[in-house]
Amino acid sequence: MSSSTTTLTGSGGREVGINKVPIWRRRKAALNYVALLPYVFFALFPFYIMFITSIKTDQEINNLGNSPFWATGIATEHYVYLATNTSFFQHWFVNTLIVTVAVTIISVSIGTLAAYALARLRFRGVELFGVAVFITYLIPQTLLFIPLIDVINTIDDYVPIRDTYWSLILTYPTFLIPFVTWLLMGYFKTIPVEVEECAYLDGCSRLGALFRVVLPMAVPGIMCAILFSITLSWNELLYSLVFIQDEAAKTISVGVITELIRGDIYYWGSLMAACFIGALPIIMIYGFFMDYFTSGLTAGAIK
Amino acid sequence: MSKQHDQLNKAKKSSSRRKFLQDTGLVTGGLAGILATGIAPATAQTRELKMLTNSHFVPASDVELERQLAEFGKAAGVKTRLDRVAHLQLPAVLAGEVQGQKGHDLVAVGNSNPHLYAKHLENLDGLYEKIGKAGGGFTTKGVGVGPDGHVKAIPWYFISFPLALRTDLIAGIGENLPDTWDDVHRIGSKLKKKGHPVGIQLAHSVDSNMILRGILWSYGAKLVDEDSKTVAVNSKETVEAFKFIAALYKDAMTSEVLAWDDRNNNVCLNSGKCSMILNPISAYRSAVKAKTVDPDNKDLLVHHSINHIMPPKGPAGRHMAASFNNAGVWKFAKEKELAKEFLAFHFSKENAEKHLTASKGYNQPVLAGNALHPLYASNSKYYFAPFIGWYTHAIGWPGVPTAAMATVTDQYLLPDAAASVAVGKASAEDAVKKLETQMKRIYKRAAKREG
Amino acid sequence: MVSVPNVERAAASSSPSSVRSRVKKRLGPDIDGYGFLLPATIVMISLVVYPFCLAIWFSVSDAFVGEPASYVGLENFIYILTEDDIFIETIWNTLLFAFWSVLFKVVLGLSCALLLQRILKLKRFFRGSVLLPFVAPTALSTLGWWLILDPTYSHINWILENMWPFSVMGFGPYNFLGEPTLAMASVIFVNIWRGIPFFIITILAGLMSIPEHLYDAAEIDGASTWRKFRSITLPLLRPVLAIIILFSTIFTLGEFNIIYVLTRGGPMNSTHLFSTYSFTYGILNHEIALGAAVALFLFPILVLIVVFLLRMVRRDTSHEL
Repeated sequence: MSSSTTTLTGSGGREVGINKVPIWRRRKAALNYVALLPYVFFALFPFYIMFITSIKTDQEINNLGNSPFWATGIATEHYVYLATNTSFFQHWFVNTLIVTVAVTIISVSIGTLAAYALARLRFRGVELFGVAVFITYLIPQTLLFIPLIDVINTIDDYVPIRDTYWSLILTYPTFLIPFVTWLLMGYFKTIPVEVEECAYLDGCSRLGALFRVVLPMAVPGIMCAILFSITLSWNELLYSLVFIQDEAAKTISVGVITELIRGDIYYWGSLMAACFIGALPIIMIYGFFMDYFTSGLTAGAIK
Repeated sequence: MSKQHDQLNKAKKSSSRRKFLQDTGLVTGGLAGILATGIAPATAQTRELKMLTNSHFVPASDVELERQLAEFGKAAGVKTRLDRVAHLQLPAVLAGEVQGQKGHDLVAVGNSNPHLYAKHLENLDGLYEKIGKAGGGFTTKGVGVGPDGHVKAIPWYFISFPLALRTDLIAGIGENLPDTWDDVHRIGSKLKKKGHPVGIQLAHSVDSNMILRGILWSYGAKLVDEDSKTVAVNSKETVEAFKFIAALYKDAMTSEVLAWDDRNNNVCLNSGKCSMILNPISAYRSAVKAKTVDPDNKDLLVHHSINHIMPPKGPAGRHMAASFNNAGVWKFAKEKELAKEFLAFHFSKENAEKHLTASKGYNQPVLAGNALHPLYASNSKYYFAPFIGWYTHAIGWPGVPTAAMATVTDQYLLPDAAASVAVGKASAEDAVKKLETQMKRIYKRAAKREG
Repeated sequence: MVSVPNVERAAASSSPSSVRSRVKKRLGPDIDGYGFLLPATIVMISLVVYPFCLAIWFSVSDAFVGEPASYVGLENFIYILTEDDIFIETIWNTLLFAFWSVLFKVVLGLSCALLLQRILKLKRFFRGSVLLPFVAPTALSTLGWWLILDPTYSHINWILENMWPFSVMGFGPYNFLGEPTLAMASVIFVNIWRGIPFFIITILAGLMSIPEHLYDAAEIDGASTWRKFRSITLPLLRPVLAIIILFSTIFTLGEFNIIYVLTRGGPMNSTHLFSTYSFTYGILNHEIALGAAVALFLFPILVLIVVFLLRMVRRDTSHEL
């Protein structure tokens, strides 16, 4: 691990900067790209459809004769509808953002502590806790929300949290913490214990070692956990549906479905526009974090 | 992070468990204090009337309802709020409120829900009388009434299923508009050959549940007896109806209908493909709004040649199911009296009419006084509306919509049985037998529960 | 992990006292571990364990939404097994769905991660774009797929009918959501689409923590690519792989959204899964006892599998690099 300071990109890493690359190697590298193309196509195809649908007029969306892959013009009406006739930007977007940030901070912090304990420390009950955390996942959310309502209502009797994003900030960590814990545990285990030993010899406390030594080395894993938390809380539907009906407190998913699915009529253009805009912030966050994935920050941290 | 940090340190240092518990109590208490401030300022002082309904097909209808709530609230000196969820999500939210015994005051409860929620809904018999008397009487029977015979929810409006068809296509093959199911079969078969099939869902969708019941009833078949308790689906009439559905599927429809949701038949008609569907006026209205064009004739706006007529008639007459929406008051509501007062306010002639107008006629009145509303005379495509109520029943007909019937409906037992006959997976006789077994099991369970 | 001299370490960092050492003897050397787990425990107990226990209670009671329940033993399980023909179908559907979904997700996710690790140029574009399916709001992106698979104006059918060379080959139109086998394949397909990024991103992070010098050494020994994959990549990836496969299996078994939007369990119940069927029972029909029984049907078996696998993972990861 500690020797991987030069590259993190696997065997291909050595090919950069060398001019006399054998032709078969270059061909092999090109093959990688070719092999990746179907994946990219597979991943992006629906997004293209969503985007193209969002800029078609209603008339065009309903026209079966035309090619569905091309729009004759760019219609902004669906985006305008989203901005003017719904609380998309005014409330839903903001709410979702607040919930996502808060939930991610809570889940990843709590999950990190728990994961460290599970991965490194030895004390009675640690295995049991690990397994228990996992087993709770075996009950589907679609069922779990019914009893959870009792819990939220009880809290609501003392502190009004229903119909506010606080109910989501409280409940989302329930499905994120177990996940973050197990994910990080896996990554923590790949970090050599010797590094920590050094920290203890330098007089670090347990938490000090965790923060100064272990966490910097586990950056890709933690990024993974953060990205998951962000994505899952950004997209959650069921809890926000059940705990929030107030128009001004809704999140994107619920708000959009409430407003743009009207009985047997679907506002396809605006729905797809919402999906597109709703994904943008996450795309940007991914773009930002992607650097951590590609630039090999782990290696730098170990140095 | 730092808070947990502190908490952890405290946990470490404190030698006594009790002290630690006190500490966490303090921390969480403090947190609760922070949570409390700035979220819902002073909810305790102001009363609030909260209503929950499904997002209406016509957004203007929600706006009008919200306006009425606000007007009522202003007069009564209370805050009001109208919350909406998509119609498919409404059951989950309602189940959540019932389980937690907390939520809104007024709720929209469709079809058999008054039965399902009977124990949690206020009895509204008095209000029902009053509203009925003022509005010329209700045109429905048994809708909104719970198993104990008390009115659990006031029938609000119904959404009917007329036959929506393309008059130009039918005229194009020299036929008159269909009057019977056999006409639909004959004309549909001819038009399918020209690329314009009939579109009736044989799938997991609300429309399918409604329309197939209509076909069964028109053939003299029924799912349950009048007592709403005896399963009566196993009859030669049901077999006949299934055979007809299979023939209609084979000759006049395409396999698409096996996958359809409620929206797909609208799309099929509006895009110019389908010749006939059974659907509320939403299909037509969205064709108007989207200005869809005929794929064969780019100058023809599809909605110009769409019209609605009565649902077809069968050997046993003309019958069709409709979706009934009702308004109820939770027993656990905080503002029960206020909610009832609002219902009276909302069902007053003036307000009921405004609501109907705002919905562009989509909400069909259950009060006889409003049935002949001028709106329905304003557009020839709505001419069917005042009369379709004569042929319309709720899903439990000839009984009432019960909780057991809700299960039968939500599990799409009838559409699946019809589909299995249509695709040749089962004979009509076998499908009916299977349906009977399934229904009997559900009704037995319901009877046991209700004692 | 086992090789770490925990006792020594703990002894070095804290002053020894007789009480402490006795406690340590009973609870293990790192008692501060409880402190680390405390926040997670509080959240889990109040918001997960309680609802969880209640859900289990539901399955052995006659619970009906909003009404007091009493114990009925295994009656619900017996009912769904012996009387409910739709449930029997649901079991097979769920197993079929989970098996194919997870299998494809593992294979495709692993191969895509390996490919992504090898490329050097346009890294951001490639890595970013294959992760996109995970990013869009699930409820809405599934609606996008609904549009694509729509029986009336399926984009795929349009390609098959109007685009050369498919137009002359005479495929389709396919009824993607209306024909039982195709419908199942379609929902699996969409599940794979949404699930692959999860695998790619976790595997990629795992790949990045494999020390380069192992590969260098293998190269010197003249190992083939396949050999390197089998002897270095795969074994070192095993803990991460095991955990995400487990997670993915559980998530896939609980899949709800895709079915709920695309087929609602149809055609003819051929895509009803545990989660959608338990939703029908528990939420739509208020028979929450039956809903819980359906959802928990595989629970005992799953618990055994989870416990077994997790023990393996915990032991497995103690290797030294």
